Amino acid sequence: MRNEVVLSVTDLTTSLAVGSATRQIVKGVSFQIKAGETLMLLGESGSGKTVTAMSILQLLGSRAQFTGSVQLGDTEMLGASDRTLQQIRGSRVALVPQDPTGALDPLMHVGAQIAEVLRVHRVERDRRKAARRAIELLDSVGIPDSARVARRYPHELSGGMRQRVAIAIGVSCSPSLLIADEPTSALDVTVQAQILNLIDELKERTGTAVLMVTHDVGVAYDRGDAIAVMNAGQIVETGAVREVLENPKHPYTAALLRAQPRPGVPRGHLPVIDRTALAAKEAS
Amino acid sequence: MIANGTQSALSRSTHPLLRPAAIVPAAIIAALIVVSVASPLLGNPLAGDPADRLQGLGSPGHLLGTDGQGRDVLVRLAAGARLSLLAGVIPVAIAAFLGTVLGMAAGLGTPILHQVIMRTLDVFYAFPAVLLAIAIAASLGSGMSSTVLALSIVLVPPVARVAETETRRIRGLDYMQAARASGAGPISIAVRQALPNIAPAIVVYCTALIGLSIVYGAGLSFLGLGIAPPTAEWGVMVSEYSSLMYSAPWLVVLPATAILVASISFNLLGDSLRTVLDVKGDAL
Amino acid sequence: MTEHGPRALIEASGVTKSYGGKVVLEPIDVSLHPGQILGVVGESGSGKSTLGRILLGLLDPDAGTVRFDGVDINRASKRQLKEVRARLQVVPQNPQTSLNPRLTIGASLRFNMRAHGIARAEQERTITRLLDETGLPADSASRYPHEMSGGQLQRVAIARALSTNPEVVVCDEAVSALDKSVQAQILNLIADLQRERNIAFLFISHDLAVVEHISDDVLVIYRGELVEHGPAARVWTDPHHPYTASLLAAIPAREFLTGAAKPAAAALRKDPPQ
Repeated sequence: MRNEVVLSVTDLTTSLAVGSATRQIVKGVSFQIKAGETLMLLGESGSGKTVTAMSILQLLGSRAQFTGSVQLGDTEMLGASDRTLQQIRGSRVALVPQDPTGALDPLMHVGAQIAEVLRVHRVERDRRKAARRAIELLDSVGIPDSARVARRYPHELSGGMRQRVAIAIGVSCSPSLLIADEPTSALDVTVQAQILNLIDELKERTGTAVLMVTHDVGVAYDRGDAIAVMNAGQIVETGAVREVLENPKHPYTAALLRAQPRPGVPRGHLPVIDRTALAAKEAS
Repeated sequence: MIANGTQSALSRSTHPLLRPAAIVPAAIIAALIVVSVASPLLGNPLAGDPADRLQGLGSPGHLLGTDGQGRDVLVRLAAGARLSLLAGVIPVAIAAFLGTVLGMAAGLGTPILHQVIMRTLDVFYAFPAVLLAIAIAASLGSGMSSTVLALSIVLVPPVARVAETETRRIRGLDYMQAARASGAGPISIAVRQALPNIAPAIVVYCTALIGLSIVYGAGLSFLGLGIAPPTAEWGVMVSEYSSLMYSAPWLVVLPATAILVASISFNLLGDSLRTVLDVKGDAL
Repeated sequence: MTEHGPRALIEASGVTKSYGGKVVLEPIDVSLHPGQILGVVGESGSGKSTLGRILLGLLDPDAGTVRFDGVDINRASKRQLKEVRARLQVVPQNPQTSLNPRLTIGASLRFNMRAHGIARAEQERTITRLLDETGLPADSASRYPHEMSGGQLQRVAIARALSTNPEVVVCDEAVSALDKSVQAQILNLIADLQRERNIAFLFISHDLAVVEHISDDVLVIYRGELVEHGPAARVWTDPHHPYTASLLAAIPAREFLTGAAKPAAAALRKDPPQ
């Protein structure tokens, strides 16, 4: 089971309608993720990292156009039927979104939302059993007093708790791949560490593969096994996390590392990255 | 910025104002305007030869026939177009101005001012608009000015409500806070910062409101209020010719259809404007 | 604290604030001197934004006074307050929403200047100068916010703050919504402005690394209480309060990122300063 390739992306391009024109956002991206491994997709805004993640989940709407291949296990995601996708999403691949508030139904108890996912994917069809499993899941994501929290609405919980609930929903059906889209951006730095620890724990326990989209170099270094650095729709560098970040070979990666503010750099002299220039150089 | 992106001219969709749903009503309204400006040239709506009475459609010299007093129907319809357009546009223009001022004052002002304005408007809202228009027009006597005044009063509360809602929506936004922090006076903030943002919604609403005002105006004259016979006005004509409904149906159908078409055209134009104005502006 | 001249531009003492019975800000003292960059660090809910708003006069404290150059801003006349506002400006967090989407950049800048009675001709000259100073293309004045990137918009926000020649600029999470690369440019710009114009900055942020980099002195706020204050370098290397220490510890890959400074700093000395 370990070292089995869970996700294989080959030459993926994604084009989206922007206003009245079409723009290619992802320009030929390839990578693989193995079971039990965390791949960090590192890039700044506009790099195409979120669109890449959404392309894997096929959540970009009907006007998105793709070429290449996205293979989840033995299923080709690009061009799969809506029915197939519905079965896969949530059960074989799950998403932990950036802002849990938008992902949770404000009018439903959080426990009920977890139970609903379990029932929809036939993991647990019995209502009572599903409700109990929901409470267990809330426990497993470190929520104290889970029975009471299960009966709460999302707005009654803190940001960190909501993210834990979103993670609980994500792992409820034991997916082989968990996609976390900047899961800690909306959180305070102390809560961030807890959430990242949680994801690590779950990974250990269930052997799920994790694709984490992030713009934070520190998070990538700390928590990733492998890394793919994205700029302007392309992957500029891949490899083992420590390798790539300690010895960056691509100018963009090196520039990104130098731009981190830290002591020792005199004020006013933070090295600046020219992303478009780097992308243009890349293309030439 | 889009240096590396591909733009496909084939996938460019038509600008909202060029689609049939906008072109047709705009053309109709333009035609109405032309007709109403040119109506004096077509003839005298009050002049008729009794010997010529009740000529059918397509009669020589009378494209749309004549009425019970031998007056040319086309000439009367054209004259009526002018009055209906005025009854549509003028009250809405007045209501737009007054309503926006009141709405903004309520939205940006002190809680007391807000209550005073909104509750006063509520009193007007408590009455069905048509009834209110009838009551006001009846007490003002006959004539176009009475129609315009009645409709203006009736239309102020709904416009004020739209203005107030929009103003409240933007009131807490960052740029409004920044405007207050800049030390500018409240009127300056209202006119220069708030108004450009609420104007699109008000314009769209008022465009459709013109359609409604046309119907109300015709309705008032149908009931014998406001504009009275022998003036050629669509509502008057429907009322006058209703007794001839079985012998000369076209006399009733034509002005009624004119009211319908004019009103719907403004509604549809309002819809297209909504699309255009939304597409153009907002940063997010 | 780092040594400054005797006269404080902002002097807040005993400022507190509560919302619905819950204390958001315990009595706190803040002073900001000309040309000083004072960092205020706290997580969400710490009260740092509330403090920022109180110091800007956008919010009344429940107790305590806030003085700008000696003037009590909560008791000042409208006229006095207006003068204060010209000298005390703000750069808000979200560049996408802090500018009026229906106004051109030029119109937004002009609005700020008009409020302080700056003449039309002077306004135009200032706009040209500010665009240049903040590194924006000269034709930006006729553009709308949606045509510009987050980094550019934040420069506009800074230009707007500078348009009345302020002595103090409050940056309320001004770089938090920006990418690291863009953030670097904005931080460099702030440093340049402090050096060239001797503007004092109150830099509010949740990012300790950024605050340490840009500030002379740092205040750390936890649950409405001031738990630490001191020179930036000292707070970073030798925090006195356990909360500050926990903030530092929570920074992901802190050692790696600070360690990476060493080879890069050596390379930096070869680059000519811009």
